[in-house]
Amino acid sequence: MSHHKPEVIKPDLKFATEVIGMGADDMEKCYQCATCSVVCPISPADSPFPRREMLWAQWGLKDKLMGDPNVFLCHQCGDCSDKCPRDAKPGDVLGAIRAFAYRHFATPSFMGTALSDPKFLPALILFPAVLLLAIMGVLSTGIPADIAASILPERLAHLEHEFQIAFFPAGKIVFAKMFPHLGMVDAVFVTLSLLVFLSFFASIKKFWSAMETTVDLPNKKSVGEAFSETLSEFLPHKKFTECGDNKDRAQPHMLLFWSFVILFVVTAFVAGGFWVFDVLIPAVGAEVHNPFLSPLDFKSVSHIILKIMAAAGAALLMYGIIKIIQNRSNPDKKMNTSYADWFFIGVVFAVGATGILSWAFRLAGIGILAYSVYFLHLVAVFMLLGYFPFSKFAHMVYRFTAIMFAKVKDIDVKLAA
Amino acid sequence: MADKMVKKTGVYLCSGCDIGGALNMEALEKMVNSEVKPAVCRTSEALCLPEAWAAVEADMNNEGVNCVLLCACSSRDKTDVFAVDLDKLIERVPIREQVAWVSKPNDEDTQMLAEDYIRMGASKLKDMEPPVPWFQEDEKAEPIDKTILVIGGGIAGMTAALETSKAGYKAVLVEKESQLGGFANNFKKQTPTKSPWTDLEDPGVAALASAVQGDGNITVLTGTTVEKIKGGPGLFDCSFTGGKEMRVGAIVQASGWKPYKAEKLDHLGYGKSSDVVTNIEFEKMAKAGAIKRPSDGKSPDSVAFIQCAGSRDAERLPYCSSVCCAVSLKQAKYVRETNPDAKAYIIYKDMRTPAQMENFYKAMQADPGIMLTKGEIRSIELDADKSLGIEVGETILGGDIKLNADMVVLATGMVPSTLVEDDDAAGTGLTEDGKKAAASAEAGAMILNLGYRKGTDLPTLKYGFPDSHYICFPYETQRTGIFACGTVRAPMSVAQTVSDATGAALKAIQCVELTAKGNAVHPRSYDNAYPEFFLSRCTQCKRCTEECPFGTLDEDEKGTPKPNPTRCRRCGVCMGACPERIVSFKNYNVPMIGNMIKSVEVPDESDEKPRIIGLICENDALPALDMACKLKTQISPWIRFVNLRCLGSVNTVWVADAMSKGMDGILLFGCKYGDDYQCHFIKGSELCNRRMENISETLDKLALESDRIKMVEVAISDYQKLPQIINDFCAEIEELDPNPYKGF
Repeated sequence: MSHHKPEVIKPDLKFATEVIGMGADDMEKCYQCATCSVVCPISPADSPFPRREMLWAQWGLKDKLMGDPNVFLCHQCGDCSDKCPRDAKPGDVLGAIRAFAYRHFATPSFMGTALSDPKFLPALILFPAVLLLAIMGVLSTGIPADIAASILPERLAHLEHEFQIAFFPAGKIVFAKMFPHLGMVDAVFVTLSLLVFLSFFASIKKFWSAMETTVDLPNKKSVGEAFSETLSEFLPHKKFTECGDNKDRAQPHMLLFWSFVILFVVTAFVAGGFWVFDVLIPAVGAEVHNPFLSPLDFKSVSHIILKIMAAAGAALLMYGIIKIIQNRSNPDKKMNTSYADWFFIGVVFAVGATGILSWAFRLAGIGILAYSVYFLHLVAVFMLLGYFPFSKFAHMVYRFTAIMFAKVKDIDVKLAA
Repeated sequence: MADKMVKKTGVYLCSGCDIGGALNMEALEKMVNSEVKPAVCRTSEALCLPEAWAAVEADMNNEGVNCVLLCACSSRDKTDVFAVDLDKLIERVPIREQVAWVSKPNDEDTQMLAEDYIRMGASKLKDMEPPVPWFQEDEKAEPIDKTILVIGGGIAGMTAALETSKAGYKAVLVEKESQLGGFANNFKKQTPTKSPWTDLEDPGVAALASAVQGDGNITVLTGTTVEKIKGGPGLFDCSFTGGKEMRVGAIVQASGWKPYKAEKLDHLGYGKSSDVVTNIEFEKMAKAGAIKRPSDGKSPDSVAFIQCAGSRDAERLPYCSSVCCAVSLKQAKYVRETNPDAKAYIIYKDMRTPAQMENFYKAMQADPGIMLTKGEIRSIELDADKSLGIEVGETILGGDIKLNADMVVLATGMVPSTLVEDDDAAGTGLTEDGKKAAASAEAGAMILNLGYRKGTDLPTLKYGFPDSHYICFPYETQRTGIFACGTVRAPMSVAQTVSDATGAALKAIQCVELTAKGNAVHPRSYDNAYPEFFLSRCTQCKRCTEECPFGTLDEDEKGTPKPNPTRCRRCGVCMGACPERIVSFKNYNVPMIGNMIKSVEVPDESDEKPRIIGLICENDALPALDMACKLKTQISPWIRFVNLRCLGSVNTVWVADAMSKGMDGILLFGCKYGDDYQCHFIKGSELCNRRMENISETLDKLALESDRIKMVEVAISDYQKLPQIINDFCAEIEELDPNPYKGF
């Protein structure tokens, strides 16, 4: 006899049905043998998953699952799905629950809905496209050349004759020419980043408190300690490489992850360089050479290093995402790829492909293609960044948080050193 | 009675299969010629080869040999080769298994062992007569009837009748209700009976009933019950309500089941709220129309099915009814079909959907609205909001939970129609086996109304099922010629019932055919001997009547047994029971075994060669011994085995015979007995054990230690342990002083 008051459960058929719709097609086949929990390389022995999560999902126990860190501790390596005697594909079920969680915790919530239904896809593409076109001035009657000249930084004024504000500017291919002011692009993306941060902050707060409700345990570690431990596992993909049968999924994922890191660094230096050396410093009357990247200068060593990093990052990104697409398309892999998965894969692929192509067309001097593809590149980047908290991309933040939470509660698996 | 056979014996020794390497065959042949003095004695290198066996057959055909003593392999081996006509006798001496393979080769003791086995075989042949099958004396006037009577017009009974007819036999189907169909008439749908085993089916009762009614071989008597059944297989004289009388050859009892009494389930809320119903009540509700909550007629949004309601519960119904899980899955489907937003919860101890029903489970499980978990019900109470609060412990959802449902359905189990319920023992099935059998037969489940001395209905084992030997002999009951099938035999699904009824119909046909040939029905279905009672010496002690596990014997007013040979299974329990030793078979009797024991040559006390008799049951213990011998595990050369039909046939006089002859010990090998008995004749080894308890008196009279006699229970799977058991006993006997009666 239990001394605890029994927990009242409220089965939610709608939740169960929705999870099934989000990629957990075979969820109902589970008959609770717990093979999955046994074979999972990163399931802790004293708090195993995903056997119980499978039953919770069948019973539609939404509240419990939304606050279950195990759902995010899973890296969907697929060992459980491979070994499942009923083909219930627990890996996919947890993936579907994660997808549900991005929607559930999404702030604002309509973004969650927009990202989980293909019917909103055109809107999701059109929104950044229209916004960027607006900035480019194409939707306006066109900004007069003198106004354009007046809002250009003075140092660039001698390029005036090359600045024809139009979709396909004439002359030497310089993408900056697409915009009346380069700063407007940055303004959009910086604002977007801030919104993304705020959205994540609100969502993760809800997520953390949901986990506190489901996992009723005292803290064993400080959040700071958990953070640094998590980071040291995160960067080399320690957990993902524990996977057995689908080990080949970990490597492309790690390459992709590092390509994001490299490209982030490149972007930061280029954007930072522009604002510091081409805007701020001239504004106070000084003049310092921009060592990173400038329409004025193509010769510095740091510039060349950045160019190489950018190329390497792009190559890694393309290699990683193509491998992932191959893996996802392999029918032997017993892995379900939902709409949300394809959406994110598609965006990453688009970012990489448009980036490389626009570069290639620029070097080839085909202006019309170079500018068009670059425009698409910006749309793709907007979709990657702007939809970060609601798309599958969010797994990075949610998973990091869940692992941290598990470490705080001391329920995370102890990996061999 | 036929004249005694004039015997001409041929002894054939085989030296093949390592026998010749272990034994001095010439010396054996010499011993045979000097002691057995047969008409022919020959040694062959491999008696089972066609030319060698042809030579034996030539001796039978040309030299007039009519008794063959075949000293080669075990009597269980090569029975296809070593077969003789019914008017001749054959005895097999296992010098391969029990001598050559398990003893030191070319050893004095091994040679003595072989010699003793030959002496025993020769002695047995001497006391044997060719069996003459039993036929009713006035067989011309009243031949064996081959009609099959089927009692119960449900799915089992209708199927049994139809299968009987298809096989070309006549059937009489008796149903107490006014229409055919039985319990299945209550079903809205039935669980799958065919591939792909995933879909609910319309009950097939109506189609089955019209097939039965349209069958020219089947006489249907509805609204009828049995008033009396007298006689035995082939000769059952039946009278029914309404005055109809007829003779039938065999009976299939398909009297079905009844639900476990839900009144005993108040711990699950039954009776506390009208919204707690049994699966039967729920099925009737579904069949009648819409599923409505009884208290207010609301269509339920959630229904909780509680599995094992009273079942697998030591206090209530200890067994699993095997169908309730599938039934609840079926009824969960009703809930989901009525209202697509409704949820059906199933709380189980274990989800049990045997065999193909697993596919049905998978199909139902695929519906997200059917939610399943393992768990133990702690309580079911009416909550403030009119729903039922169900507290469940030890769930696999994690810990104790509470959930609410608009209705609760209790999956109650199945109880056989043969169970006699009274207020104390009703449904518990916990009363002692013996008492239960007596209670059922004497209080009478009032189905067969047999005119047997031993009770009016089928004896039942625990839980009230009229079983005999579930694993080895399905359909067999403890009354020869009466076969149980369907849910009276064991809880089962419609699909299983159909195959069960088919099996029982075939057994019934086998029964009438064997009976017509004068053979035993079962399990010695090749046996055409039968027990003969030398009644002028009977003292009316009634032991044979009481102890016969099959109610074979009736008796007259004085208590003299009245044999009914067609009911007999030829186990010899009566022969073992009789203190006057008046029961004998042509090929198996008390003097025969006694003389075999006495034919063993007992060496002088000073030789320090103990002699031990192993009385071994040929059903499980002998095959186990054969297997042990095939593994060539060494067995003590002091023991000599005598094969018995059943330990129940052991007459205590054999102990006296052995002891007075100077045997140092007796080891008896029988089947396991008790609740999970393995005895092929139900009570044989148990009866023997009881007799052996009394035997210490005999030993006391002879001033011998009671340790000299031991009975062991052997399962067929115990073959690896058997040599150890034997050798340990032989070592214990060696510890004792030699039997002082040696040499008397």
